[in-house]
Amino acid sequence: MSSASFRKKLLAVYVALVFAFIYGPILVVLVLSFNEGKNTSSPWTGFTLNWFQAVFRDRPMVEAGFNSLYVGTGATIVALLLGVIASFIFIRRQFRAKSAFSLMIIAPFLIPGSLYGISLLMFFAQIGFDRSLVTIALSHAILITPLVFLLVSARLATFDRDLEQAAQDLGASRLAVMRYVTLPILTPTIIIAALLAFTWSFDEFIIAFFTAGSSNTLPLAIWSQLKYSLSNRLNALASLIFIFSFITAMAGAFVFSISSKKKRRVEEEI
Amino acid sequence: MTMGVTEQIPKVATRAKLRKAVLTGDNIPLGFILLCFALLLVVPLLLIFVISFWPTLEHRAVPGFTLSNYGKLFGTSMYVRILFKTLWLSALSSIICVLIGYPFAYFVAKKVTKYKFLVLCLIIIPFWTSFLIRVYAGMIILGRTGLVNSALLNLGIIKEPLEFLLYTTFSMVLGFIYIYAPFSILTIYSTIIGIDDRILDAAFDLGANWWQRLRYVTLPLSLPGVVAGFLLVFMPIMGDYVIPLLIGGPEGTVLTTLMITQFGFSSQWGFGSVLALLLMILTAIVVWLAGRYVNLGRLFG
Repeated sequence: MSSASFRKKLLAVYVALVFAFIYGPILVVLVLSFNEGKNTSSPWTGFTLNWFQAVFRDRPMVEAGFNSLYVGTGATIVALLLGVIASFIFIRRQFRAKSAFSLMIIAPFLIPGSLYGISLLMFFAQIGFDRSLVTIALSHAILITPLVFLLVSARLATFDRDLEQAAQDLGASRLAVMRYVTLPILTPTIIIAALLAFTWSFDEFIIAFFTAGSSNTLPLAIWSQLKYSLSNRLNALASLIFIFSFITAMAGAFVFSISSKKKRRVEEEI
Repeated sequence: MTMGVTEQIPKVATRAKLRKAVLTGDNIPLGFILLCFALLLVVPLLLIFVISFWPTLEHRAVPGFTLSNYGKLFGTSMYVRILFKTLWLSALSSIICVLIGYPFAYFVAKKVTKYKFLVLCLIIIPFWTSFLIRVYAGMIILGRTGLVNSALLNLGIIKEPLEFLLYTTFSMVLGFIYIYAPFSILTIYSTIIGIDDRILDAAFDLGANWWQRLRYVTLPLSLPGVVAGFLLVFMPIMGDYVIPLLIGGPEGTVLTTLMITQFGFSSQWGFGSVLALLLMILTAIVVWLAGRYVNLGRLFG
């Protein structure tokens, strides 16, 4: 064997090891969530689905799950609105302080969550706004707007404006151009952004921790269990959440690969 | 007199522009965005600065002016020690992330062809799966009766469970690497993929061996990615709260946990704000440094 191909094999083994390091623990939890054993670290004794049933029987946990769905949906809708508008402003308009504008939009990405969380806590307390699921959703919306902004503005930057011009020349109104030309082209990007934004909000912990009132989101409910009691039910819950996030992320990747294939085909035809 | 006229023109023009903008509603979207971000981002962050000067009376921060919160930070050797410990642990973890990430990124960028999309997906997926769940999974593995300990016990390699695996500085650093390594892999990957293969081939043709090529060609060309890969994990590691608190154990007090404690039962918002400000300044420095090496916008996109 030549030394070059030996080095390549060595690197491949290395990559596999790093993946094992990243995914190993999660796979162990997936397996353990079907384990009959009494506690989180007991050896394999038999297959059971009891832990999953227990998760769904846990009323506060199910309620927290629904809360997370509401918060995620609300935050995603607001973030899409803010992110898409900000992208149009950033790409289509000329004004001074443009780089300051984009820095402001991206800032929630760059600021540590713990820092942003406490600033929101003090802000809501000072203006006397009671914390609830609404404050979590609003805070999450600002947090995930950068994601929508970066994806949509990247797509808008490569957007062929001749298409809009052509539609306008053919007599379409500004609204019609938006409805029948611009938005359909942006749709795949917006879907991806929505999926990723939702997943992010659904899993977000630290900002929810500071902006939550009396109702819990799922990560907050998990947090209190992690701190005070490790139970086998938690393995099942972890598996469910992992699979849920995995599917959402994969759906995003799927839409992405389809839309980029389609784009390539169109470009080849031209 | 002519001076007066020329000075007038821009003023009139701006006023006309302003009137047009208000009448046509062109600036409504911009105004909307600015309002939302001012209210939910800029004002809260400025509030940290303001409250850092407020004195605390009976567990409440009250409007006023005092420098005692700052004095408390710099006057207490324990707090200064925690600050340096935070910086040192974050730097150590980030360096290990880069060391682990570089060969990985190089392999995926230059050697993997057929399954590249799949491998990239596998690196990105951890970002989109619950952070807490991943930390929890790590706890299950490392615990006193966890997988690592029971495996080692069963194999007869150790007689007593290893205690340093969880709730120590070691486990905290390991946790940082476990969570943030994919991030530095991705950053480094994005620069290595940009290196022209012909340059690497040229190095071989001119007689360089693999080590010389790495040392004099690949590494210098990918240096911006290495620096960015370091800074962009340094930042979230320094700001992380979950890992130090959950698996840092008694030695797990870092800047963020100290900061957040001030907002709990002790309610020292003024001092907490000083710590938050410190974290903000450190983050700003890192962002500024990182911005000199990479286009931040492109990286996240």
